[in-house]
Amino acid sequence: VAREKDKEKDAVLQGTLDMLVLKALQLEPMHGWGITERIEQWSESVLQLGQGTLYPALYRLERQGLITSEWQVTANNRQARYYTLTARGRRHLTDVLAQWRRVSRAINLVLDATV
Amino acid sequence: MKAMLNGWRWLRSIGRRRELERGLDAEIRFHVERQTEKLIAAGVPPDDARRDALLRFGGVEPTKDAVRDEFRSLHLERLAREVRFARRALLRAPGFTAAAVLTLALGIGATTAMFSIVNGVLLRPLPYPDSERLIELLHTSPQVEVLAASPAIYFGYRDYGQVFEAVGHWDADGSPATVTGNGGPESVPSLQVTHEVLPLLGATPAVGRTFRAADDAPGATPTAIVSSGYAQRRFGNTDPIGRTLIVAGVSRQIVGVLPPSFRFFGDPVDIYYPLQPDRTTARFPSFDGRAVARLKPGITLEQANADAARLMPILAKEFARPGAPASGLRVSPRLQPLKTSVVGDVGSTLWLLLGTIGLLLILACANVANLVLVRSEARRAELVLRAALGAGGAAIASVVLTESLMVGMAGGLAGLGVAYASLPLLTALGSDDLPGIMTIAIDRRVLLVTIATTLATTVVFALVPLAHLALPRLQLSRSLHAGKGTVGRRDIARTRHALVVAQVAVALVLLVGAGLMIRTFITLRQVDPGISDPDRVLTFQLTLPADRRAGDTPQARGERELLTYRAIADRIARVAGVEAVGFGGGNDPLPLDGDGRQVSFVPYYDGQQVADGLARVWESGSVSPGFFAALGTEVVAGRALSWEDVERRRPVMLVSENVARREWGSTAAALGHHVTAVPGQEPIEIVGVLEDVRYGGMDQPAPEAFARPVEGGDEATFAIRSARVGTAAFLDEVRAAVWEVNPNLSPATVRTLGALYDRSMARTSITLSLLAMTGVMAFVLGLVGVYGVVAYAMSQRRGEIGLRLALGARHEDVRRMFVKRALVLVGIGVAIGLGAAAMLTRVMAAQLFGVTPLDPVTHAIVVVALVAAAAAASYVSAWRGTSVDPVTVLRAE
Repeated sequence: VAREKDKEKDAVLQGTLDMLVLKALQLEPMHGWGITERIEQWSESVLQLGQGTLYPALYRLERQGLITSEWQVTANNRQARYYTLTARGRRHLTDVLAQWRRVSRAINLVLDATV
Repeated sequence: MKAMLNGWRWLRSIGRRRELERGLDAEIRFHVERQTEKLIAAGVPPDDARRDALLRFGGVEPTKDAVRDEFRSLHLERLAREVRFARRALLRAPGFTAAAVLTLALGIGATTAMFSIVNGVLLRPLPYPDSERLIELLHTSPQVEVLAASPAIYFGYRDYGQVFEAVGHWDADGSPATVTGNGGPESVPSLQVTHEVLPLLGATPAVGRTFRAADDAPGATPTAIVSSGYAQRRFGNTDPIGRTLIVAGVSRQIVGVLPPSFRFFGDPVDIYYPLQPDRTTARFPSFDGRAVARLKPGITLEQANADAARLMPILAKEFARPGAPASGLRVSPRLQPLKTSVVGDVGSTLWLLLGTIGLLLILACANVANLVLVRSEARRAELVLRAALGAGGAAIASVVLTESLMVGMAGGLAGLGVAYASLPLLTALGSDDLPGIMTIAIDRRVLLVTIATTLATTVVFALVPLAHLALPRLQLSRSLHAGKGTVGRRDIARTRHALVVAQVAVALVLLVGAGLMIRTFITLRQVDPGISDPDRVLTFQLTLPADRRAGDTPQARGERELLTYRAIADRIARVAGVEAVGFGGGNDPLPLDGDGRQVSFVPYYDGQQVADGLARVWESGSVSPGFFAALGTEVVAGRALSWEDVERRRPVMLVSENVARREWGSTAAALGHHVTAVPGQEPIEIVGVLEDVRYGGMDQPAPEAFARPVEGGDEATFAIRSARVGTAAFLDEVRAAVWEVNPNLSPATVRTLGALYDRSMARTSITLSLLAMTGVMAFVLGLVGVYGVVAYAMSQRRGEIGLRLALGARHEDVRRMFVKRALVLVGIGVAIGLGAAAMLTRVMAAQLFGVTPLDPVTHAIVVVALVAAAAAASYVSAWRGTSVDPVTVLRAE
């Protein structure tokens, strides 16, 4: 049952997960768990990630050169992998956000249209 | 540059792969721990917290898999996609694929098979321990190029040499011995060896012992060592050690059985027995055996030769004939690696053939390049479209490259199949010439060379279309606009022209080579061998069992032996269809049988020593009347030998024509002169002159020779001339005739003189047929290339042709225009080919006879034939191109 639910959530997030990850990294470098926390927090816990799905996305983004990663010591003195947005990733984020806004505005216009 | 960058990325990604596996575990662990901590902080009991955290994470292993997939897709999936795509594309063009793979398979297969032979014969060491230190004791003199060894040489090198670890000597007489005893008589290949020979060659008996020094002492108990195959055949499963064999009339005790793996060079020897050389009767110079030695470690061939040179005067002093004058033969050592002796001069032929096949491979490569070019032209629209859709130059190149690689790999694999199938045929073809001891097989080195050849070939034919695809994107898109895609066409035509030039050049080289071999073959066939109709001469050897009687003298024994031989000859003469029959003493009187018996001495003519005082080296023979008649060697002056000469032991001899001419000026002038080797000896009168016989092969000058009346001996070689030679019934009747005289005798080494003649020509005919086959293939491929170039040029200029014809140009003029252009290419190819042939045919010089590598007639014939055929091919192509209605063509435009 849990897996089906995950899939549902995945489906919702499929196209937008990459964008959310980039957005989450916009302010500061973070590790994987931090990113899931940030997204949940910002979405007022509406977007509950199947946390495992985050990692393929991180590797994909890194390969595309949009983020880089580095092992660092956390505040609690533990090793964690921190992801940083690259300049290219920043530009990419601006582009996709603009596009998203255009599209979502258009969709909202359609949905809000009075019949 | 781009490829290097890609390669670097790929290498880096392998390192990343390891890092990924390690990092991912740590990262996931960290994630789950943080989530657990968060839940505990929120008041969830620790056990539940961890479970919930894992649940939220959603499966650790699937996540890892998903990450790995992300990683992998970068390289592997792209490769898999390209291979799939290439396979589909190739299957859609079965004609192209089959032609390309087949051409490559033939080229690579032939190269692999030929290289296996070169590898097996020339590159692999002899299958004997420490074989690089084994040498054969050979000698030379100004009169005779190659002299072997003798007991005197064996004793001298063994006792006084300083650089030899061991020396072994065997009797070069390779004739089978007659073994009698239980069962009928049989001819068994046997060899007399000193006790060192078998250990030198690493032969340790599987059962029993090897020979010891005591076995070699004259008068020691006769012993023998047999091959495992013979022990099996003769004694079955019973222990052969201690059993006795009667070998050539001597009862010998078997002391050892050799392992099945041991082979005495290429000879199928079944019985080895001690040579027991006698030091008191050993003479020097004398060369009637062969000897091998193992050098001490670190000794070079030069040092060994220097040490041997030091031995020569010692030998001449110790083993001089008592009372005889100095021999006049200046002998010097010419030691050589045993491997060189085994391989002989077949090396140059093998390299030549490998080179020939290599040219064929180049041709096959050019042909496949041409096919790929035609194909990529046909696919140009598709590739241009891909480029227009955003595929980078590298992506398009990798499509074409993957396809070429797949064709190359298929061709390589099929070529290996061709090699496996053709290798037995090739070795069978060369079985007379290839040393039997060397194993010829497709081993790891051959496989490596095949792989390298395949890769090199693939790179060459893959680069040709790639060079055209490396055009800037701009041009590609422009050609898309133009629709017809004219850009780059001129470029492609240029490459095709280059390929045709290469094909013509290679064809010319191979045809010149084949032409030279044909002329060599014809010249050799025209050489008068000094024998006639060799196919109608049957020969065999007979060995009489030793027959010692009380109070016997050698002369009485010889007379008994002579009576037996004569009775057999008389009986054979009565077999239906026999025109002449005779026999010679020993096993070596036949021409072309690979051995002979040379004597060297400073002759006295009519009591006077020859003016120049130099030794003469003559081929000697002792023969019965009728022997030369059976061989078809004519008496050109004087008379033949008669039975009276034999019975009365008359001091008479026949000499060869070249002796007569050199010593006395003419054949007739030689008659009546007397020859002696030592003053005071009974002078021997020359009663007849024989035509010259090419004992060593058609390409060797006929040696000076003489023949004396036969005197018996335990061995004789018969020659029978009859039109019935070659039928089974005839052979049976001859055997019956022998058995009628003595049922204990067994004819051995039965063969026709024709077989010996063919064997002496074998190398020439194999080289000829391989060169001719490859030459014809090259010729056909070259013509197809010329035809294709003309057809292509005309298809490109159909509009122009139509216009010219419409404006009133005659068909003939248009055709001539295209033929002329094709012939320019052919001309360039011929010029390059002639230059290459001048260099390459030089390596053939050793194979040629009666014709020089630069023979103008051969070159002229090949050039004229090639140009004429190319002109015809291009004319036919042009004729087809112009036989269209100009109106149709113009409309199509």
